[in-house]
Amino acid sequence: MNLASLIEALRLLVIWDRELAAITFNSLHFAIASTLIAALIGTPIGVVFAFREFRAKRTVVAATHTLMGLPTVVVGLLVFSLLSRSGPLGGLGLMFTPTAVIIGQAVLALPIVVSLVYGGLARLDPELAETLQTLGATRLQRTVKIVREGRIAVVSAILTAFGRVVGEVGTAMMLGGNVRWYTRTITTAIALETQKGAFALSVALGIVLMTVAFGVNFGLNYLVRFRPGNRAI
Amino acid sequence: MSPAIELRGLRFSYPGTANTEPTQFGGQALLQIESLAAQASEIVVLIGDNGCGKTTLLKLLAGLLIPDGGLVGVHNGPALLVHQRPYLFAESVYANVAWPLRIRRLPRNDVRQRTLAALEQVGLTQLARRWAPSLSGGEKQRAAIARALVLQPQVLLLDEPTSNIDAASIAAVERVLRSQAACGRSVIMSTHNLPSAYRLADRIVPMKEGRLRPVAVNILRGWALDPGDEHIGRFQVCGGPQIFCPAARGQYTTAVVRMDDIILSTGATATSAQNRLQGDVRAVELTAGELARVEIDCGCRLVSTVTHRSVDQLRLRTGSRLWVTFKASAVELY
Repeated sequence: MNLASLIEALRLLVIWDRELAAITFNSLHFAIASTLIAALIGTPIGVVFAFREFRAKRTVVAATHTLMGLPTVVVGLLVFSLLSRSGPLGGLGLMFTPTAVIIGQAVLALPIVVSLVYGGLARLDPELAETLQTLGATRLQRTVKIVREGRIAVVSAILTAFGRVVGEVGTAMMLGGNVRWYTRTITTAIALETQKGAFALSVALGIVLMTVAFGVNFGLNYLVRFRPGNRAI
Repeated sequence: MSPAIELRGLRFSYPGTANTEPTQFGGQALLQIESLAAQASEIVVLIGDNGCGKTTLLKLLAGLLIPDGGLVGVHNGPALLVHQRPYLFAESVYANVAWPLRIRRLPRNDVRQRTLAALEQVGLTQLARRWAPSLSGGEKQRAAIARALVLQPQVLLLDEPTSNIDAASIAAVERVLRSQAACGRSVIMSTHNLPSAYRLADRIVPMKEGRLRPVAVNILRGWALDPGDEHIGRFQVCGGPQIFCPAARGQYTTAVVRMDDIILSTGATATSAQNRLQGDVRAVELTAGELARVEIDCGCRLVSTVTHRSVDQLRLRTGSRLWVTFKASAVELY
């Protein structure tokens, strides 16, 4: 990489190049959708882990913790085997589509959300659950309130999961196929463009990715210190 | 009159601990209670060592735990428990107190009126907008009581409401509980704070190793008279006699005399004890073991514990006339 590439990268950013924009949009689209799916499924599971006792809970929790470090290519392989033509869901024709990438990234994000939501909520006062019960809250009302009380932990978990999927390359490459204008993401594009020797777009995308990562981190920091002001009565 | 809350033949043990010895309670063993009831407007105070089962009993009464056997009945409305370290939601005091009404989807005006009324009852109107987790221990306790009161429970259950809070806050919490009882609510609370228990209780219920024990003190309501310069003071029992007590200045409303400090005799023997009252035996209860409980009406109701042998020697029967003697120093003022 040379100075000319860097200047070209900055030019692409300033003019907000069409391809750069499309790739960034794809990345954010896939990451947001997969994180939302993982949050919707994973948060209630984290609540159950934190406040309900059941058989083999320790084993299940330990397994979930382990899955947090799941290699992205393994997830890619797993979902690939399900969605490929010869797989059980091959008939849906989802391979190399945005949906396939979103499914793969959601699988990647799910154990992160469950583990971190569980870890955060388990640290809440154990009397919270009894307080909600004695005040006559329904099961749904209790779950919503617990999530609200542990909102910092829950949002932190979701942002961490987002950070993981937005920067992953394995699943996006294996399930999306890096199809231009369709499934190409920031990470798959950087891998490809760097191999081609086209550093300018790679550097520009790298800067976008770093900006997103910094944004998520600032968000997390803000949340940790966040305390809403008094509301009107 | 039927009680507001009652339990009969209650048995409970935590899962997997059914065979543990009651002495190993520690929150993990057997609770066995034949009967307990609280009437409307009555304040019942559970006292006992850590791990004797007070909190478990309160949770059973609140329906948070399911008994292994027996019956827990709450009449005319819910029984709500306020925990020892109440959990307040991370929002304003007002939002905390309003929450039980909001989840019941009550009209906004009703929520507002009932929430403000509950806050007023516990004296927290001024702090309605405050961030609840930043309140002091006593304020948190009162906010939690208000959050229970918005649901207008017939029975208020409180686990150690006066522990870990300062004296001024204890007085504030006691005022709230007295006013709730005066409104017709039953209050059942546990405490380690004996002065608070004596000041509040209509009935003390001692617990040990998961069982109820007989009460060992007489609690007399009234007011302390100004002792002047004397070393000995006097306490006027409501609707009863004056008794001698240690000299003390202050707003004392309760005198406590241990049952085994009261000496019974058939004649007015000369002793150094200042308190000598004459009365009639109302009941003699021969309890298991060596001791009997003798209830005497001497202008106020006093109970003395004596041995079975003394019951025989003094020929104690219902209607017997007796002298009741106890030292002024045996009287504690609260």
